[in-house]
Amino acid sequence: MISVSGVHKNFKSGEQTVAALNGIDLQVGKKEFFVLLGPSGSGKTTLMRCIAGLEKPDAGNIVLDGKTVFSASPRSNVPPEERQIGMVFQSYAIWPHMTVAENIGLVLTHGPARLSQNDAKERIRHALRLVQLDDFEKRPARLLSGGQQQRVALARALAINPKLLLMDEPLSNLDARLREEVRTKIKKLVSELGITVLYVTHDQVEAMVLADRIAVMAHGEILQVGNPYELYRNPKSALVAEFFGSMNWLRGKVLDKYCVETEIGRLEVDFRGESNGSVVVGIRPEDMKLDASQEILRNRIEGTMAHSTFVGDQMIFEIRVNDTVLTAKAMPDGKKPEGKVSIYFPKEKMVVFPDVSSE
Amino acid sequence: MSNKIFTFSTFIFYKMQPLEELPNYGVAGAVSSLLVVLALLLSWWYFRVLRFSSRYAVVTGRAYRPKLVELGGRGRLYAWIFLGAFFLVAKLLPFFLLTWAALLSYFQPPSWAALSQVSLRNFYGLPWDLLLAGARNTLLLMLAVPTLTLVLCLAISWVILRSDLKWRIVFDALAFLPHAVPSIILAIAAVFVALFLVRNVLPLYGTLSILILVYTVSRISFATRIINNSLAQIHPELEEAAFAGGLRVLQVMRKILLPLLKPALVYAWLWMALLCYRELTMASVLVTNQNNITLPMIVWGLWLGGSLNQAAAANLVILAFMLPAVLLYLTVGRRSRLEEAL
Repeated sequence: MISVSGVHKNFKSGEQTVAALNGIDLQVGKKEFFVLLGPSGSGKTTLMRCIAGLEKPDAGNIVLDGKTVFSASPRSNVPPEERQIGMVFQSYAIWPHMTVAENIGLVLTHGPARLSQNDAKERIRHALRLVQLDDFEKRPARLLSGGQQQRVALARALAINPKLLLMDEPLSNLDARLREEVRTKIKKLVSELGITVLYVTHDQVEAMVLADRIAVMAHGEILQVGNPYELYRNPKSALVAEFFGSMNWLRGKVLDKYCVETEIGRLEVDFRGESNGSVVVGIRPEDMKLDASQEILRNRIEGTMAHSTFVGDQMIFEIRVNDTVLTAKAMPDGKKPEGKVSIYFPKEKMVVFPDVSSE
Repeated sequence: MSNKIFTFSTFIFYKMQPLEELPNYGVAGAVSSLLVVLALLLSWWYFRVLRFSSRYAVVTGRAYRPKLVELGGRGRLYAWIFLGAFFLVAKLLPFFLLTWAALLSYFQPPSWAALSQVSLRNFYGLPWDLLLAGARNTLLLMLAVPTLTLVLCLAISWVILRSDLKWRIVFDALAFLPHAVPSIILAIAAVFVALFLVRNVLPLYGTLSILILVYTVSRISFATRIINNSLAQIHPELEEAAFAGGLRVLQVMRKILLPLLKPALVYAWLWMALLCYRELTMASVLVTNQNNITLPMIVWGLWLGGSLNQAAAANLVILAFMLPAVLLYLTVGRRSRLEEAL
């Protein structure tokens, strides 16, 4: 549905040139819910704006549904109004001088569909039913709450029956509870409608809940593409790992192919890279096993329980080993371990990357 | 000016239309060029400062509201006295003297003796043909200039703020330039162009068109400031949402931008119409005959001709002409500013 290759985009601010997109290649399949995830300044919004046609890349080409909409050479560019996409903006971009119905109707009567007022009326009603704002047609748009405006923006984007829906941080202005509620509704709605979605967010939980696949972006590049499980379990870099939930990082030196001497002791790891120098070993808090039995000989390290917190569905422990504090998580079982603990570090759950910071 | 204390601008005017010698276009042109250089230097400085304007931003954030300070009983009294005195000295007194002068055949300080000579004779003696021609021309100017200016300004502001054209800063500078150039120089330049460059192609000299053109050019700088400010406050995503929905540029202008800019446009239109109505400096250079005479020029002519009391009478007539326009400005202008505040 979307095919992006070799896209570059630079922004000039005064004398400085900032590379917002640095050679982006991306394939999004039909009916896929695809999320662009990254911190601010990673280029995710710029990439979406290039796909929408609101920004012109400096190089590369973009194909939507088999049709080339941008190409640097030979030069061609289809303007946004001819790309037939639905788009939801971060600010919602609800036109404040119109009613809810007029907001949705304008793109139907004046856009490519050129519907008559009567046909538009039916479509407006349908679109509002989709987002559960049935009786809001006559309301002035500027008097709606943030959540309602967000739904009008979604209804407006869906009203033109787009094959592709672009959403730029659509939930970031909603409060936490509403965000969770709307999130699941969006997911359900677009899968029922069978449209392709490209969704920009900086929130990894949102990305994991919504996405079929995620592209993690930083510094104008795509670091890794995969489904949420792959990205969580098999990150290809420390940056990606860091982005998906918390991680305990241990600095260490590689002894041989499978063994690393870390700051808390010797650990056997599954290390595929080539490095005979410094590495960082990462393990997620829920992957460390507490109360390891004495029969386990390898990857068992002794520590002292420094602090434990009960948060309902889980226990969070802080464990001190030498001068390092590790965070572990476990299901609460009513016990509150104290004093000495044995921790087991499962080999297959650890990730190892070259230590970039020591170079 | 009559005791020959000149500013740059009045000196140029004096050289163009001296009372006792022939016009000296050469000297006026030379002084004008000097002034333009000075103006260019000043605008260069202005743009340098503007580049760092974010540093000087004081008011930011959505929650900003001007704070109302409650004046105490005495403070309120002083404030009213100050306002009253200001209104008396700056508005009422001149208006009273104007009326007084209009009713006498030669000027005398207000006294009981003079009161007996009060009559409407000055009004009968007014050049009514000229006044009607002037009223027609001034009215045309008040309609054409603001409209033309706003159309141009909308285009310029949009290019400056919304396009990614490499040279959009040049548009900004060009639109700003009339700010820095005294309007009399603009008018003189226009006269030179009309007389010596395009006379055979476009006979502009002595027409109403040249007034419309020059007024428009000089107002562009004011109007772009207003439109720039208002357009900058409209989130670009409002337009982008319309583009993404399949609307074309002109539709976006008509359906999204114009309605949102309406308060600012109405306000700017009315303000420029009033500026047109009272414009004298440029008219003094550009008006050459009955076809393009304006109301202020008639008063100026009467004044120069030594008939102070007739000038005062003409002034009152013109004020009466323009009262509806001023009232419109006050009510509509006030309402549109309120709309903008919402």
